[in-house]
Amino acid sequence: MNAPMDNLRSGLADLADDVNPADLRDRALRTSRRIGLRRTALTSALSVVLLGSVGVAAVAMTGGGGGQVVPGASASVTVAPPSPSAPPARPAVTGDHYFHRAVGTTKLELFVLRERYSCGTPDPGKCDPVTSTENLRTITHPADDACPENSVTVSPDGRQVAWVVTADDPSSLSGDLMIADVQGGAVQKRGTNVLCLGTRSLVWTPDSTRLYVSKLGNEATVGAVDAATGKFSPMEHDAWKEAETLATGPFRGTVHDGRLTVTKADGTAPRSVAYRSEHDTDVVVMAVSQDGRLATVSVGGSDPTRQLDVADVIDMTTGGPVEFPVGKVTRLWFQADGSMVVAVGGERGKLYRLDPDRQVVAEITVDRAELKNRLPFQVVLG
Amino acid sequence: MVDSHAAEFDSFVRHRSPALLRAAYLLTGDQHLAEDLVQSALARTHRSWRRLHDSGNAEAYTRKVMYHLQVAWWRRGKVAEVLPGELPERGRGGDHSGSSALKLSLRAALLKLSDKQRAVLVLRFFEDRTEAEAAEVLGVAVGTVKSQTAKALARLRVIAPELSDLHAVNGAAR
Repeated sequence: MNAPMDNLRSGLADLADDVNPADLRDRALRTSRRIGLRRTALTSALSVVLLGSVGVAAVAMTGGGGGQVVPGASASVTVAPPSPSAPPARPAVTGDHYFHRAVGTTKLELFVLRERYSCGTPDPGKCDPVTSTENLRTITHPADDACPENSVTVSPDGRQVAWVVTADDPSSLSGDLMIADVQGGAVQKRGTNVLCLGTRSLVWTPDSTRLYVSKLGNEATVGAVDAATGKFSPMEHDAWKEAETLATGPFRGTVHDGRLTVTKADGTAPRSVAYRSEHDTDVVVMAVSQDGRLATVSVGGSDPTRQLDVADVIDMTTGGPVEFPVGKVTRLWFQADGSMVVAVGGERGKLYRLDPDRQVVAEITVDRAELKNRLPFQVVLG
Repeated sequence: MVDSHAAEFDSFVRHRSPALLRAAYLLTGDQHLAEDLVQSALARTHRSWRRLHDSGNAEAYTRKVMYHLQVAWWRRGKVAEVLPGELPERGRGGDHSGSSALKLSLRAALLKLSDKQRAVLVLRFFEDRTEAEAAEVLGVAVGTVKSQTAKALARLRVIAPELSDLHAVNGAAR
């Protein structure tokens, strides 16, 4: 016979087995540093208050320092993001930010803004990024064709670029898949009837050899195209969805009937929170962080394009919106190391690189005038 | 000396994180929140590592911080959402699925308890602490641990009658 409460003991032990191991060393050290900085800031603020309240004469004698001290105002000075000495992200050190710009009605110029660090790793105030922007190839397309702009995607190795041009599809939903060297040269046609709409119409495999695509024919077909030969391999839809998701991360998400749901790439392990878009418009989940914790939801997504702004970044553990120290985020690119790159509303020409705790580790200024008002279509840190 | 302390802290994190995570998972009901909880507790341990390591109290301190932070987080509403009816339609039938269903019920039921009730259950029946030890970790009187335990078990019977096998008999005080 079991001892009293042995069943509860074993039930709790079984439940505890569900937790996955995690390496918390780096995270704990980062938090420890932040606590230290916060304490320093608090101590400094308290010192200032004390000076302000009992040392007015001393301040006057030294010329007043640099500005007024308002006792009480310091209560909010406990956290100062972005902190100039905030700990750096576990660094994906370099960054490539891809832009495009329409020239006339038939050309799309591609650029890459490269972000490098002479001292090896981002360190705000001490090691700022060195940026340079290069012209890449120019894509030529039929007049007023929206497909190239919405589908253009650079391969993970940075060598090839793929896009769709509408051919004989009057609805401009699909067209020919084109692949070329990102620096220039001949363009190869590698497929037909490839859909170009949506937030991720073309997805490269991590080894840059194939592309996951959807095709529009007598019936919709999904599969992978070999970038070198153009050979199309149809796939069963669920397998395709899983593979296409895994090419960029382990999780995917949907918004449906007032619920935002994030699942693993294979559709299992759903986590769902209540979510209503403003005015109940249709929205899409644009991206999910590598740990499945954060999901970005678009503004009204009736326009099937990837050029949608982010309406909310939702924390799937609380269901609440995530606040960023840099302000209202309008674009967000999650990275494999947990860091992210964001653009902020009203701040064109500037991007922020954030560590996994959403602290700023670098500010990237767009250095080409013709790109100042544009946002990247793709960001790769590595 | 600094390197030596860093290596000792690394070793502490490596060896004790799994056990800390298990308890944190029962306290929060969520992988991410459990990681956050342990991470925060470890960070505070790191701030005082030299003193704690020299006195041999590192793990006790970390657990104490973890339980106290959990109470604070709960008050801020940082809890996992219970997702009844939204789980994968897999593995129905058989002992394995019965066990899974029991686990899910237990997880959901724990999240319906108050912060202190859940903490005393985890301390008493997962960590196998005596009432006096649980009181010391939580910083409350032994009487509080007794009353919270009784209330927690009574509430489990009401909110999760399907778990009756688990808590059919009241635990004897140690």
